[in-house]
Amino acid sequence: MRRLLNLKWRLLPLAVALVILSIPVVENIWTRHQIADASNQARTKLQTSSKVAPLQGSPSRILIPSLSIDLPVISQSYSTTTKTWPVESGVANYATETALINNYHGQSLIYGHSTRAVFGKLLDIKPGAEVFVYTSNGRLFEYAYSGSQDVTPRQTEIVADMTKAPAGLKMMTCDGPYFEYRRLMSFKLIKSA
Amino acid sequence: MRPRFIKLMTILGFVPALFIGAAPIALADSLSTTGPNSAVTVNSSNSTSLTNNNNVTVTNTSSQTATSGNATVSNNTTGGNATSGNASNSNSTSTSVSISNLSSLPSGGGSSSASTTGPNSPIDLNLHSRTTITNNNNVTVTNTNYQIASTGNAKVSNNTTGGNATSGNASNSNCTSTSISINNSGSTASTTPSACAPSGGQGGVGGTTGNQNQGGAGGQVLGASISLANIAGGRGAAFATLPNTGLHDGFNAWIVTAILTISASVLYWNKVIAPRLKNL
Repeated sequence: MRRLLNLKWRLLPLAVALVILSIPVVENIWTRHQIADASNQARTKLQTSSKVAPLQGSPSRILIPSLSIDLPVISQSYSTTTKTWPVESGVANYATETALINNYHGQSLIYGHSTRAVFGKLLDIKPGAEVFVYTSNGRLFEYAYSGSQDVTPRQTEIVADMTKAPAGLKMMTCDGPYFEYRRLMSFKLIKSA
Repeated sequence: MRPRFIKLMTILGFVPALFIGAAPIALADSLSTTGPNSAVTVNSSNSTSLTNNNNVTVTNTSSQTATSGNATVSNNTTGGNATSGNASNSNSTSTSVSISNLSSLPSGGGSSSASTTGPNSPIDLNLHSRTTITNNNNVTVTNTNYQIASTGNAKVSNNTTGGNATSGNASNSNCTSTSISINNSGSTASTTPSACAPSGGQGGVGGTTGNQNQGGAGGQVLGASISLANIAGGRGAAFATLPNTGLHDGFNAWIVTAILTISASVLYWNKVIAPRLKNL
């Protein structure tokens, strides 16, 4: 009995190891729970809103429940000096040259790195997947994934096309073994509040 | 002796004549030659090409919606007045395009001349002239302006004595001016953009409420705030490339931590726990 008791304390390091190993699992479950909660709140807000009025705003947060993506959105502008678009790591980037998030005309472009922490999981998005976008002025917009296409980095005419399109959202991240393509995903507007 | 002397004098006379005769080839103002076997050959070619392609596309799109609210008075013992506001739209678009291309090239000046005298002095002149001017100007301007102004509803109902309810006015105003001037070394091309002071939508005046229980809601002013919608469609400027979002996932600390933890646990089990379990 004494030996057994002595052995029990020696099992403590293994218990600590088990706790360490379980941290990412617990963190993942907690994140999913948080995102599910936020999604439910968004749905509730959209359901209670019956107003159909022209709304617009600069995006501040993007939520994709099916992919467990919940990211802040920052505004970025094309640099005419370096002729590049700044891409901030760890967040979603909104191209200010495209339409504001709105419910009446023009598509907005939100892009981000193709890492797991940002938009890497977007490549696995399923048709109909819902996306919630919050704006800095407190508006909320719901979109549904409708399709995607791969374009080359030089196909910049898509930005001009977006200005003429009906209200909607485009998201973009890199694709291809050498990131030689841009995956352009289209989302149609479902509801706004 | 005499023939030899004549021959010598001929040679002495021919050599300076050859140099004196050759010098004006580069200096003289005319093309002339004398003497036998002194033919003149002139090859002259002149090529002039002028291409001007100007593609100018200007698209102005303006959609305006102004909606005046409803004014309703109902179920009053003594009915009040309800007046719906006015709704008006105004749009002004001015586009001016002026293109001046070089229509013709100036004629080439200069002259060439050569002259020589004496036998066996042929002249070959090759003259080539080529001028190419190509101007391709593609200008695309897209102006899109969407404005929506809407006043709220004014409603007075269920009052013993009906009050007044007035819906506010809704007004939209848009003014777009585009001026394009292309001058490809022609005459001066200039356009004067029309003076155009844009003004945002004018919000309606809030509806006045009745003096009884339930007043009408205040007019909802949308015009003033939504006038920013002129950028709602996006600017769609010209870009060299799309955003470069390619980035590999970096070092994952958790994977390394998990591997080290599992390895340490296995080692610990084998060295510490397993022998003691065997002794039990």
